[in-house]
Amino acid sequence: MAITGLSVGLAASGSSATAASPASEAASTKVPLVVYAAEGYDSAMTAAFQKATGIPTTLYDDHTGIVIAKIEAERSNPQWGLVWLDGDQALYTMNQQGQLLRGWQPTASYTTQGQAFVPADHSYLPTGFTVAGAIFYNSNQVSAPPRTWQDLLSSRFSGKVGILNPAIDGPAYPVYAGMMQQLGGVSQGQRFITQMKANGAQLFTDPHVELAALENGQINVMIAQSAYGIGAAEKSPNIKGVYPRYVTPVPSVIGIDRKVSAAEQAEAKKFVAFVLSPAGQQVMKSGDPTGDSLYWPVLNGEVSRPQLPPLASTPIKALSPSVWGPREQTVNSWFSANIAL
Amino acid sequence: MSAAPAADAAPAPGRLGAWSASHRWRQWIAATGLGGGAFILLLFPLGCFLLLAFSPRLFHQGTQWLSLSSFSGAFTSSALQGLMNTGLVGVGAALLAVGIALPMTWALLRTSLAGRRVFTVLTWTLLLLPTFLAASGLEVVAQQNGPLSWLVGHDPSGLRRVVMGPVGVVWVLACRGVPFAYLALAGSIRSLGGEYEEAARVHGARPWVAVRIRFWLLAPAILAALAIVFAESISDFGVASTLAANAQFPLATYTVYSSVSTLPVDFGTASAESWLLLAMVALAVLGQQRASRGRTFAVISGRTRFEARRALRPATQIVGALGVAVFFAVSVGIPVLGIVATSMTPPLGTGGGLTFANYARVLHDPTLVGPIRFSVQIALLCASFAMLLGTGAAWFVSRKGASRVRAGLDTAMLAAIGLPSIVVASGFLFAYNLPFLGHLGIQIYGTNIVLAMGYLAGFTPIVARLMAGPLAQVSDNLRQAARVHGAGALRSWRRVVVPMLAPSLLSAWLFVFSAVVFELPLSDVLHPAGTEPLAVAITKQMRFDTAGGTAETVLAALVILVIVGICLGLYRMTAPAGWRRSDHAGADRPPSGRKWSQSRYRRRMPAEGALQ
Repeated sequence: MAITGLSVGLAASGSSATAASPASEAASTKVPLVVYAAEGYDSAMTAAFQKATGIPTTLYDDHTGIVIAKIEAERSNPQWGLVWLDGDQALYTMNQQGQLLRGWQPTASYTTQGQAFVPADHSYLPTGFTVAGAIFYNSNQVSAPPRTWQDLLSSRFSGKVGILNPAIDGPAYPVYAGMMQQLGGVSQGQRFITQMKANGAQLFTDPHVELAALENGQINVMIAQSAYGIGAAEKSPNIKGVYPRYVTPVPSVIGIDRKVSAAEQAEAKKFVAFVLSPAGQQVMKSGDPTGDSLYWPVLNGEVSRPQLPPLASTPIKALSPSVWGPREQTVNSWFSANIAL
Repeated sequence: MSAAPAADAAPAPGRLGAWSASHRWRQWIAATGLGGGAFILLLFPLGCFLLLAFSPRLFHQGTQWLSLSSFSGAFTSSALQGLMNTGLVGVGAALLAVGIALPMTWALLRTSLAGRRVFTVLTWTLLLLPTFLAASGLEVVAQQNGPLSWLVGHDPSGLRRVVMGPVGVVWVLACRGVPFAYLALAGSIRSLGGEYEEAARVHGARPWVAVRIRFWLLAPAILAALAIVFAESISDFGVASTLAANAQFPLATYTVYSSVSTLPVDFGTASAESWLLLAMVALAVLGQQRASRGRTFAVISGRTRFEARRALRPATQIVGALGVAVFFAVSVGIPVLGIVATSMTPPLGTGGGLTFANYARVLHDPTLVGPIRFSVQIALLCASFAMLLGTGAAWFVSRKGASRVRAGLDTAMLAAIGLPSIVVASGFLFAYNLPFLGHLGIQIYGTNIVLAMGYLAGFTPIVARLMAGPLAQVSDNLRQAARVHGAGALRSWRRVVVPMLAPSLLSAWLFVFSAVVFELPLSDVLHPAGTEPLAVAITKQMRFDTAGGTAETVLAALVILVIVGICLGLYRMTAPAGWRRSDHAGADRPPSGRKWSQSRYRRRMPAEGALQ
């Protein structure tokens, strides 16, 4: 009897929303909006959205790879209404597969940089961006930090550079893709990465393992996503960042499932509009203050958190998702076979 | 290996026909129930996922209805390297774990070894220690400026080179395997009577022959231990994703995980890689079946005499206790040192020495209470169901008379242990979200029911393997004797079989309970939107707060240890005396081997008392 009660309770908890929906009559007519996301501020955002609109919102939050894997596995019977994560290559691919709602535009005023991330068919929309990989160093160990990517090949940093595996860490791929783009092609980029390995670069699976190595002196320099490095630098003054020419911006992008009901699509549109509103942007900036909240806004009138360097002095060069999205598997396979082994 | 007495008790002639029909009916119900359970939990989800390698379009993963192209990704040099590494690591870990566990379990359960209660607690601690934490702790200890460098005063670079490679991987997996082997061996070692050894000695056999006899009597448990440690090792994700990955020593679970969690996601290749892993497990199953073919190991019968603990000589006592203590110091102490050091690292930027600030921060975080409560709840449920299903399955496959259903169930269960959890989780993702199930009114995808089913699929086979050894040694004639004396089918189980298996059942239940709480890949993939299991919550905390996440893990492990301690205490205080056989062996045997057959040290079978 007790087991039955427990099982019923467990089943019920799985099918209910994160928080109880409002008891109002209006709320009872609303369908649950299911959000799949991989953002540090997503739980704060879904709570704020539910509070503001009364729409029952359920969140599945995990890291980008697992979220994408779940969406891929559910293609025969999608369970999500809205997806929100870092990196436009993934949503570009989903759009190519016909999974995203196209042609809808919210009333948002994008900056020039923000507009550059918006695809022509509006199948997904940017909500902010970070830098895929900047250089962070331990100033207790390094007096003359590297200023360019080429500096990482110097003997001064032999065996003391930390890099991430793109097969495991999502934002690592745009770092290497960006290097390949600015060096003139995939093979030139592969040569550069091979040279880094020959110079003793240490490979890490997770940014937090990499950061621990930076803190304890195992490495003196690491390449990491800007939000992660700035968050670490905020806590530890000896960690400082360098943005070599060029770094790759990674937009956080949001898309709506084409196959869900019209009611859920309408709610998903409200969610996107809320994210892009001043109230939503405020939640994004405060939801994960030492992590993903450290982003550059893509909307006119919005300013970033003070810890971020001015965008004007940050040398960014974006990747085309249509060019570099399809190359991801090839590059990752090459990395696994030649660098990770 | 000679067969032990196992004669079936015959019913009265007049009732033969009714008894036979009833017996067949129960057999059919058992086979149908277990077959249905195996289909729902294993064959359907795993079958769907494995089918994906041949027919991507069936699951909306490509355009081809029939294709072998997925296997091209599984036969790349890095994937094959990972597979070969996995096989070697599995064999190494299994041999090392059983090599350590066999003498240790004997010493803990059958001798007066000093500190055995502490060592038993440490065995549980080792079981509760998630492999990703053990591996990470070892890495931390061996790293530059780590705890070991503080202690010895220089960089332990030599140790680091050893740890960060195959040796470190095998060691961590073997340490994880030791409690598994202990659980697989403990029931049999506790139950092993002395009559066969006595018979040999009466006939003039030398002492080493007695040792050999005991070894062969334990053969099913040893084989079960080897199989389960091998399967557990090749499916482990914790070491593969930390120490092995950082050491650039690829393992198959890592390559499978990469296929399904990195862009672009490639379930087809993951499915093909799973086929190769399955082939590796099949080889292990065949090896085990070949080794035990045509033999029966039922050695616990109505004539069995349970022996008391053997009192060790002082020198043996010192060597034994020291050996076990050193093992635990290295296997538990070093990783725990690394973990605790990490959890007490001052938050970034605050400076200073070790601190409890991370623990204080975690304890004041209300969002952590929900995941702990949820995981404990679902673990209680899953442990109970897994124990029932796993024991039933082990009983079914261990009975006499080989059949295809039994062989198939046995193979499917061991294969399920050998498959990484990420594969099991992917199988559930594909299978229980198929549209036709919705048309049939079966809409359990996206609920905690599917998560619980995933846990059951992951842990029921382990329970079955853990119970296989003890069950193989329980002769059916005991239960048949109870039936002859008027006990019904359920009563004969309750009064005869359960008391003999009680310690093993409790061990298996506690293991599943504690393992579910820390299970990551299944939780990660199958947890419903809006619900967060503990392992997922810890992983998220780790992403930006390693010290806080580690402190949270330590606290959760302490909570589980307390619950395990309460369960063991309650069992000790409330279980009938016959159920706590091992505890009866308090009267230590004299050290002299010449007095080993004195009847005053023999114990009565609990079943005898149960039948009176």
